[in-house]
Amino acid sequence: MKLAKELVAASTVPLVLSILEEGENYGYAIIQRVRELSQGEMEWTDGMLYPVLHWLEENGCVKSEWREAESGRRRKYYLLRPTGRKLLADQKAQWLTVHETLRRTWRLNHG
Amino acid sequence: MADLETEIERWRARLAEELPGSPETVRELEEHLREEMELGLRRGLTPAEAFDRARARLGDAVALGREFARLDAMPVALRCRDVLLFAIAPVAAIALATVTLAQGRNVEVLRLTHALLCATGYLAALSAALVGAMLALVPRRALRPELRRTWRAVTVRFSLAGLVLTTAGIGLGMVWAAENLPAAWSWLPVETGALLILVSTALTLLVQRWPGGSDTARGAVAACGVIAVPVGWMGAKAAGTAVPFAALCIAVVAAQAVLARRCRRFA
Repeated sequence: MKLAKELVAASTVPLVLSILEEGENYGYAIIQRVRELSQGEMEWTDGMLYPVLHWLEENGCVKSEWREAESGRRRKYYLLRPTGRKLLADQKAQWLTVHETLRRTWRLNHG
Repeated sequence: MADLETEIERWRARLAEELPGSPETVRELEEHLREEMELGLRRGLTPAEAFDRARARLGDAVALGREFARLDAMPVALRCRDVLLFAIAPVAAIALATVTLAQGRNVEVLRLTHALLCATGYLAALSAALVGAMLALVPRRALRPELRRTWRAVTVRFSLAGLVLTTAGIGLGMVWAAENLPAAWSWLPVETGALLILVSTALTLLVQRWPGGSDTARGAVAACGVIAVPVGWMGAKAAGTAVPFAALCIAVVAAQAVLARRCRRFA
């Protein structure tokens, strides 16, 4: 099943924030985590994640720092900030409302 | 492998062209490319195949540049903390007016506070207009995208400070005028000038908060503010004798409103 582009785009921010809520992470690993959580159903063009991460950083939702991994590779890690937690809580409430409404609607239609 | 490094170098240079002034972002994307390549190699791909696959996954350089450019068109977010901070001035002004009137104290303190708040508000509004106008003047490639967006955020905060301080100042002035003059508001040039500065600053703030639009269009709106604020202020200082000042200010703000409307249309 191929998800609509608009739906993927709209879910990017809550997904990224949710993954960062699990702990600090870097771009490449965030994409791997999305792939794992969606069981391959959500396919992003990898590069499109970075403008979102940068937007979140500029708006105080996350902060970043470069660190060297054990492999010697330098990675830019992103950490969730309180503003990001608030945004996530807000997005979560909105998505759950949509989810619940659709669930009820479909139960009524098909039930 | 040496050829592959040349390929990566070429890819990086192409990306840097699309993301001018963002070497850190280019480095971040290169790290991603290399990590994806390593995965491909571990899965048995040849280096060339691993590179092609990683490059395709990351996306075309032009598309990436376009995505990052869209960040510029995003509205500047305001945090609750900022809004609360800026709310202090009007709340303090209302408290001062209430206490002064309730205790029957000398209302001159209101006039002095009004002058101080208005002057600070005008300075903040002028700073917002100057910073916003700079965005239209500085060539895109000369300013790092992050810095450009920081300037926009500074413009928004200065505008907001200008709005709340001037509003609080005008409010106190009205209370003082109600006690000492025939009416709280009488459309003198001094009052018209102050009101137009408020409108001008509100327009500068609004176009920064609207999605879409370009730095040039937003900068042009702010540039009108660079003229409107001093003209309105001087009109205010020259008081009753300065009708031309108020007229000029009206003309500038009208032009600013037309430009802002164009920004809105393109948003």
